[in-house]
Amino acid sequence: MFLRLSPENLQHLEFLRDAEDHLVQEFGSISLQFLANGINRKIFKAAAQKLEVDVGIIERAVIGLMKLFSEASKNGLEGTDFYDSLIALEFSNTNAETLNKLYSDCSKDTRHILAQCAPSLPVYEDLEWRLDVRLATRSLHQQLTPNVLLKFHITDGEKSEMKVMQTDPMNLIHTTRVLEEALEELKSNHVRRIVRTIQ
Amino acid sequence: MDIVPKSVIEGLRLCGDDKLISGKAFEIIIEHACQTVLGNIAQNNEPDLSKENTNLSVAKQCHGSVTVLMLEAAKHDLQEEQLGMILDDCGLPQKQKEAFAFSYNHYKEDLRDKLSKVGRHAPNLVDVEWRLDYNLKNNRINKVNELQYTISLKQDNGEQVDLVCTRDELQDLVGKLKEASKALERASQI
Repeated sequence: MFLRLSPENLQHLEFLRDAEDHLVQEFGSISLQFLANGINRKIFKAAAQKLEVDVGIIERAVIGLMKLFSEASKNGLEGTDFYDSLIALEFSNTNAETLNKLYSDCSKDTRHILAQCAPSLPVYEDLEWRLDVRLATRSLHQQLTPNVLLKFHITDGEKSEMKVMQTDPMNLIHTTRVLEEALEELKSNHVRRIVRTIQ
Repeated sequence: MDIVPKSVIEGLRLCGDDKLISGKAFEIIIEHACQTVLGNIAQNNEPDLSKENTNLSVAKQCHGSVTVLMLEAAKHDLQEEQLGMILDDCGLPQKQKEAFAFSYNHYKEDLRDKLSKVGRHAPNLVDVEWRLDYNLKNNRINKVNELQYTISLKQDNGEQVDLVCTRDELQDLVGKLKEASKALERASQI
């Protein structure tokens, strides 16, 4: 599979096509770093001064590389496909190799970062529970009411939150059984067939 | 045991007087009071005493006293003899005493259940729904190909908590719920 980039993106990469190897290496690591932690504009300025080129060219080159890496990760490109794509994009052999090395080291992490950006409901992190027996309240003395407190840890994007609820024995057993059924469903022929077919 | 205020005792004492409240009217009042507390009758609804020979203002006082005694007795989980002593203090005739004790025994568990729900507590988890999806792709990644569960935890306040998890995470969740169930089972055997 070959990587397809937009003409605009190809233009951004122009500057790097004939650049020296160590520059490609440097730009490559910077763009991977930016993919993980966000863009830091100070670095553009410093690089522009050092290389004595317009800051816009540097910025476009780095963003071009970020797009290149993320497109490749999005499509789950294997190492050789990535290398061949670079050659097709008229990168020199050494530059293609350098970028390919960076890509294979980071493609898993990049995919992970991309996966986090996908639209999603809050994600389950952890569950804490506590078992109490309520003995008395202001309105009811002499009771013996079992009570299970559940604290769900959930992350929604970058923000993590907790949801506290309580439940009684009947509902706890019911909930556990329903969710066990959900797990059992994984073993069904239907699910197994679909997962096997769409690999 | 001093669990009911004097005014309640006095209110009930009036009920012992057949000229003010007939035996039948007393029974109607007891039933009405219990049903009101249990939420089966609206609070502003009044018992129908038109067919009974009844002093209406005494009936009101009687209704209030019966309600308080029922609730206090249920709150303290009074046994029949203890309740009997209080009813004796009110000087109720045997028939009225029996009517009260009968309704108390009949509604006690429901009343205690109602009382246990009074006060502040975390919302109750009452049901759970789930969905199993196979994620294929999204605008960021082609070929995701991962199984994903969506879980909706339903609460008794009408709200629900939605979350997603992978198979491993659901296994973790179910494992913890089972642990809690086991702890509960062990505790119930003590």
